This record gives sequence, C-alpha cells and structure tokens, in this order.
Amino acid sequence: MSEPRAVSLAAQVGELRLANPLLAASGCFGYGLECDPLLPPETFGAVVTKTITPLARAGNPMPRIAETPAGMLNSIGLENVGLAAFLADKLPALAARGVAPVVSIAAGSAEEFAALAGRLAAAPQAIAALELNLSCPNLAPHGANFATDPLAVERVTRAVKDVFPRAPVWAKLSPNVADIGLVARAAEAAGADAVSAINTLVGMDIDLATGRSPFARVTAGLSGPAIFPVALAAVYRVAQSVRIPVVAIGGAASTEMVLKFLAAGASAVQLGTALYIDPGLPARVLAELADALRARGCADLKPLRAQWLEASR
Amino acid sequence: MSPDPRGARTPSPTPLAAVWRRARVTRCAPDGALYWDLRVEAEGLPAGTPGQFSLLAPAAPGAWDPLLPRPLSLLDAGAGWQRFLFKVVGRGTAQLAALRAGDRVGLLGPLGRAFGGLERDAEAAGEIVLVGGGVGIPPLHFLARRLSAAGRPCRALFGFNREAEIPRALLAALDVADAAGTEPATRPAAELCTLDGSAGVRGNPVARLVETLGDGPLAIKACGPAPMLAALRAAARAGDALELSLEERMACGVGVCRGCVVPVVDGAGGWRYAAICREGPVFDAASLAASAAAIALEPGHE
Ligand SMILES: Cc1cc2nc3c(=O)[nH]c(=O)nc-3n(C[C@H](O)[C@H](O)[C@H](O)COP(=O)(O)OP(=O)(O)OC[C@H]3O[C@@H](n4cnc5c(N)ncnc54)[C@H](O)[C@@H]3O)c2cc1C
Ligand SMILES: Cc1cc2nc3c(=O)[nH]c(=O)nc-3n(C[C@H](O)[C@H](O)[C@H](O)COP(=O)(O)O)c2cc1C
Ligand code: FES
Repeated sequence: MSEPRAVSLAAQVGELRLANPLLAASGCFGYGLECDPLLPPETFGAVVTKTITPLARAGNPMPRIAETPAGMLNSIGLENVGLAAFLADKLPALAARGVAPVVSIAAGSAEEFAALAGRLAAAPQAIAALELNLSCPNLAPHGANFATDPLAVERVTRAVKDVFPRAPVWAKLSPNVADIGLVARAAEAAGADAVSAINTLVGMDIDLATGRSPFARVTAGLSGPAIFPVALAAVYRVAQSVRIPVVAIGGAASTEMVLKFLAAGASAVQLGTALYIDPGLPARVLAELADALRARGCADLKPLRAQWLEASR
Repeated sequence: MSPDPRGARTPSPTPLAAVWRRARVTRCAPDGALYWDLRVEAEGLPAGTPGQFSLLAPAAPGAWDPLLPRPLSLLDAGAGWQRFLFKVVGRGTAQLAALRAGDRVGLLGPLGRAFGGLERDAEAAGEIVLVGGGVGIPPLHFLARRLSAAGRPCRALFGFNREAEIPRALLAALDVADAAGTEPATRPAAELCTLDGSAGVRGNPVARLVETLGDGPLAIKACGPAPMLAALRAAARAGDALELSLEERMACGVGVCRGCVVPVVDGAGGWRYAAICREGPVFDAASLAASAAAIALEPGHE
C-alpha cells in the first residue's frame, strides 16, 4: 500500500491566499474568538467578522429567530459593537492571535462606507480583505439595500476602493434582485476585487394565534440549507458574469454542497447557519475535501475546479 | 469612554468549556404524564454544573428538520455523561423523546452561566430557597442535590399543575415534605405545590414562598415560566439576592448569533443586550433591565 497522497486545500481568492476554502460567514461567528476553543478561528481559511457600522447598534427587539423547514429566519438587526470598539478591542484581539480577518462593514451612504473603510485602512493590524455588506435586509425602512441598485453598488464600491488600497475589497450581494449578474458587474466595474454571494433572502412568518409576524420588522432574513439551490444559481450566474473571483455563501452544510459551490465557479465558500447545526462541520468538510481530491487524483483544488468549469461551459 | 453602555468596551471573550459530540443515548424513558428522562454519554464531555444547559440536535445528520438544536438544562451530570428531564412541546422535543438507548444525538455542552452559591462560600443572604415550576425544575433539582452534598441545606419549592405530571425521578432523589415542612435529611428537602391541589400544597410556589416568608434575607434561585419569574421579582425584598434562569429560543448557544438576548443594566442608567446563552441563562435579577418593552425599535441607520 502506498501512503495517501499529500493534498493541499489551499484556495486563492484573487490575490488573497487562504489555507483552505472555508470561511466563517459574517454574523455567524461573532468577532472570531467567541467560539474558541470549540471552533478556533484557525479552522477556517479566513473569518469574516460580524458587520460593523459607524456607531454601535443594539439590534432589533426579541424575538429574533424562527425556524423554517431546513432554514432559519433572523432579524438580529445588525447588533454590533461599532467601529470604535472594533478597533479598540476586536481587531487587536484577533491580531494577537495571529488572525487577519475579512472585515465586514455596513453604513447608510457611500460617504459613510468610505469613512469606515478609511478608519480601517489606518488600523495597524492585518486585515485580509474588506467585505462590503451592501445587502443587510434588517435595516429600516425596507433594508438599506444598496445591492438592489447597480448604481448604488458602483458608488459605494468605488468610494471604498478609493480609500482602502491595503487589502482586497469584496462586495457582498443580495439575492433579492432580478439579475444578480448585473449587480456583480457593477461591483466589478467599480473595482471590487471579488464578489461574495449571497446574503439572506427576504422571508417572513405569521403566528396564526395573533395573525402577525413574530418579528418587529415583519420580514426577516432566511438562511440555512433551504436557500442552497438559490445561492448555487446566484453563484453560477455571478461567475458567468464577472472575471473577478466569487466567494459563495448560502446554505452550505455538507461537503457535497461545498463542492457544488466550487463547481459553479466559487473560489471559496462561507459557512454560516451550518455552524449552529453542527460545530464539527468545518473540520469534517476539510477532511472530506481532502479525500475527494485524493479520490480524483488531484493534488489541490485547482484542477478540480478547472474540470468543472470546463464542463459547465 | 462614552456613557452610552452600547459603546462600552467589551471584555475579551472567555474560553468556552463546551464540546461538540455525537453522544450515545443510554436511557430515554417517559416519567410522569409529561416528562422524559434522557441520559447521554460522550467521551470528553466535561461535567457541567447546575444552571448550565446543553444544545441537543434531534435531527439525524443531514436531515435538517428541525434545523436547530434544542436547549435542555442539566438535571444531573458528571465527567462523560449528562442527564436531562424534558417535556414534549413540539417537533424537536418529540424527536428527542423518540430516541432509544444506543442511538446517537448531537450535543453541544455544557453551556452557559450556572447558579451561584456553590463555589462562593458565604453568600451575604441567609437561607437559600429554590423556586421552580414545570420544566424549570430540573436545574434546581440538580442544584438542590449539589447544595445538600456541600452541606448547605436549602428549601426547595417546586410547582406542578397536577400530581400525575410529577416525574418520579425527581421525587426519588428528594425528601418531599408535607405542607408543614420537614427537616432536611441527607437528601435535600422539597415542598411540592400543585395548582389543583392533587399533591402537596394547593397553589403555586411563589405564593407559597410569600406565605411563609420570615424576617431574614433569602438567596432565591428560580427557574420557570416567565410569569412565575415576574411574580418572584415583585415578591423579593430589598435584602434578598435573587437569581433567575431565563429561557429563549436559541440558535448558536455560544453568544455569536445574538438571537437570544435580554436587556441588562449597564453603567449609569444604561442598558445593553446580553446573550442569554452565554452571559446567562442564570442572571442576577438586579442586572436585568426593568422592562424590555421600554426598548424601542432602533431607527433605520445610525
Ligand atoms: C436554557 C434553557 C434550558 C431549558 N431547559 C429545559 C429543560 O430542562 N426541560 C425542558 O423540558 N425544556 C427546557 N427548555 C425549553 C426547551 O428548550 C423547549 O421546550 C424546546 O426547545 C422546544 O422545542 P420543540 O421543537 O419541541 O418545540 P417547537 O416546535 O420549536 O415549539 C413548540 C412550542 O414551544 C415553545 N418553545 C420553543 N422553544 C422554546 C424555548 N427555548 N423556551 C420556551 N419555549 C419554547 C414555542 O414557542 C412553541 O409554543 C429550556 C430552554 C432553555 C432556553
Ligand atoms: C444570525 C445571522 C446573522 C447574520 N448577520 C450578518 C451580518 O452581520 N452581516 C452580513 O453580511 N451577513 C449576515 N448574515 C448573513 C450570512 O453571512 C449569510 O450571508 C447568510 O446567512 C447565508 O448563508 P448561510 O445559509 O450559510 O447562513 C447573518 C446570518 C445569520 C443567520
Ligand atoms: S443562541 Fe446565539 S446568541 Fe444565544
């Protein structure tokens, strides 16, 4: 018997090299260290931190979560510590640990986005990339949803690119649009280094006893395995529409789903809700990905992706 | 720092003691008309303390229905094993009730902040009283036995709807007092209340506590339905130390999803949201903000 072949799970998102293609999705892994040592941040190729806004936000009142078949609705409302506490506490703690996060940011206007990015550009700690949350559905009145408007996406992305030269800028897109490919092209045109797709879908529930939605904001964001087919189609569409890399997000909860995202053209895959279903998932997926490479006689992910992309043309 | 507690510095996160395991079920059997007694084993499972809980994933791996794991308080625990007592209320608990010895179930635990009083040797307040109702009783039962073993007698007031619902497992480990009360023996003593009077004292445990209040300060530790906890807050006197264990729907169980928050006081008159799963489920009543209803929906974007 020969030794099992050494395989590399290293992934490349444009310029950014990751030890593996799994990332923790924004809002699902806090500021990166809360789950340690259960799920150390080093498990992931990179950690995307909870979206921060210029000022701290308390978020929405309870209830904030509900279950759907194979999915969950959340109306957290971007609860976050705000830029000042992020710079003072969160980023240094990650840096002390040797972790360079993908920092997720959101704001109410292109100018505010740029101001946030500018402050982060001046931070002494390492930042792997900046992810623009253009699509949080939990902000009033109908979601500060830049991602539904290609012009707004272009404006925000360009404003951030102008002040943040130090690391790649990723634009995180919403699935709640007619053609996500168009929005992705707007991000690319404005200089985005990659596109993250997708954020949660707009969903809701009705409590039949009261005839009302349980959520104060009525609608909420749907995530989890239930949205995977939608996310897969979005990733495929975006990958066909732009030349910049695509980071897949949406419902991935098994090795098969991760492989399908890669096959659809993703360079890396973020895990969100799946981390709640099974904190052991990332380690298992990484082991199973390595097995999948060995079974196909590949030394790394590149030929595997190339083969699928070729077949999908 | 700004006086706004929401802008306050956040402490660096403390490490989690919880592990994720596919635990082996060693027992799952009905007890009384409503409850199920579940015991699981898993290698490396740390022994939890009273007030802590675990998340149990009832769905088979990859089934995703229900999607999220369910929180259950520890009824008892040691290194490598945990025991729960739960009520079937919906799909998740129905799936847990269908488990049989030898089955596997996903488990994340032990989680959360436990009741105080076991490690702090002399609490300011005097007599320890445990007040529990329905599914709030398991963690207090665990606490009563631990206090008793530590030579700290307590008075336990447990409320049920009717006698048929009272699980035998609980009774077996307690010296159940009659309405007049008995001296604690080696086993902790508990007074039972039933709403219909079919066992113990008729009524609820909060009313019973109020009826029998003496002059000295109490360390009250409670878990049960929200109206019961509210009644206790109203009944507690200035010198009493009150600890409440809160319940909320949970997703992550570790404080990262922010799905299970409660307003707590922070700084001068300020408040912030604390995750019940991480900073609780046990809170000092004094740290809970007076009314969550006072907290308005945030304006669009700040
Ligand atoms: C820290 C903690 C400890 C708990 N300990 C115990 C315990 O020791 N024994 C026990 O029997 N139960 C306990 N519970 C409650 C238990 O978690 C819920 O009953 C369970 O999650 C319901 O799941 P389900 O799928 O059966 O019900 P679902 O189908 O999800 O819901 C059915 C009904 O139960 C209500 N419900 C759902 N989740 C909760 C919840 N988390 N708290 C209160 N009501 C809920 C719903 O509003 C609904 O009316 C605890 C909850 C928490 C947060
Ligand atoms: C509880 C929760 C909080 C979230 N918070 C954020 C956030 O702050 N910023 C963001 O860009 N996305 C946020 N998301 C969306 C996720 O990053 C992800 O895009 C979405 O959940 C779909 O992926 P999933 O199905 O793998 O969870 C949140 C999702 C959940 C479930
Ligand atoms: S369940 Fe996620 S914060 Fe409590």
